[in-house]
Amino acid sequence: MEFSDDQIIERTLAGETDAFSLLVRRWERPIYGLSLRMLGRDEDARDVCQETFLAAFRNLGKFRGDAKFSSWLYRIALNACHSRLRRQGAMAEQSIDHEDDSGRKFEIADGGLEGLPERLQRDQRAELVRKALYALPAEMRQVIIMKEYEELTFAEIAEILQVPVSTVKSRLYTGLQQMGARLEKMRGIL
Amino acid sequence: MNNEKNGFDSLNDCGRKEDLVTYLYGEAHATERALFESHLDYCDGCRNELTTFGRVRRDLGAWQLGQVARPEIVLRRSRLDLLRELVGMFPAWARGAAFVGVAAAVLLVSLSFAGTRISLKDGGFVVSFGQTNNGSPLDPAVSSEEVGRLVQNAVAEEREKMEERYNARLASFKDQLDAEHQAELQAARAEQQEQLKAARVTLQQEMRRFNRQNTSAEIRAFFARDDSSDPWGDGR
Repeated sequence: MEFSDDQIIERTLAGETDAFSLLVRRWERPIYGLSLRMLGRDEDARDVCQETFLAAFRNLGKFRGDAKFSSWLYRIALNACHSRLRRQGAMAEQSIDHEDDSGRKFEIADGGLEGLPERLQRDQRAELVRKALYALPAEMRQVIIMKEYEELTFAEIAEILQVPVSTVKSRLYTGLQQMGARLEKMRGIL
Repeated sequence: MNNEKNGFDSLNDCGRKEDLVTYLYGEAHATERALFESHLDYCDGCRNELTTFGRVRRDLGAWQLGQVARPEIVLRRSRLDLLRELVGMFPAWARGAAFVGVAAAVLLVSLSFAGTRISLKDGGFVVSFGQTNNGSPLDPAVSSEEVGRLVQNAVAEEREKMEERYNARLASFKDQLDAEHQAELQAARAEQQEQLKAARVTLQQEMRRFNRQNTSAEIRAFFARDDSSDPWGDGR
């Protein structure tokens, strides 16, 4: 039997603290993905992941339940990402071209049976996307990431960001427009 | 419609941008979808943008995360949480007893720091405060006059020590100043001597040069003289 998020929260708050690990297992991957795409570095994404779940665990008593737990968790993670980006300042811009220190190719999916030329072409496209995405202002980047990769609805994104749905759509529209222009330009340079 | 300024010129200004992204992501209801599709029939801007955005979305799809190692989430509980959990394991009566015990211990420790003595005397408790220098409790018979005198003595003693320290520092400062002045005087005197010596040398050189010039002028005048009328040069 699969417990809902709310049930797990209830059990955790009732003193069964180990139940929280179920929530961690359920949401660590999306939170990690969001953080990685927001920050661009595996190390930072792991730190944000850790911070997010710790903050959620410590403040679980304050979670009112009028929003979805996942929205609350995404909001904590985004706040942590923004704090980190602010701290890094100019360094965040430099990290665009930065490889993972441990040498892991974390950003590219395993190609499976894909041939080498196709794989190289896809890797190149992924790199272009990564760069174009980081060139966007954070408020547009986060909307694109949540919509494209986390596949959240407009209403969910609006709930997470606590802005009207129309603002989410507007940011997405502008973000896609800028992405399109930047990708075209990058392709021209290549 | 809320369109944020993006710095990119857009040819599409039909006012259906939000509808466009709703349609693009498949979140439009059937009626909205039909209406937008009929709009697409005559709006080139939206049609072009839909194509561009579709291409951007395909590009975005190229960046997929591979098999990543599971992030290790270690829920480090704060010491307070651990303490709370530990306390929660005991029954309520045990927690109450422990609380009373801890409070009593804290009270006793605080009183001992304040030098409080509790003794049984004449069938009752006597509580006294304060400590003397040797650690024994103050004699309650010490009068306020004696205390005042002790305080005055201590103040006078301290003032005397301070004056001594001040005088010693003053003397040391004076010595230091004297030594500095002496050194400066010596240096000035040496410099003056050097200057005098240099002036004397210059004067001697000048005198020698003057004498040389004078002598050669006299010699030149002697040989240039017409001595036909006075061959001896003595007016004979």
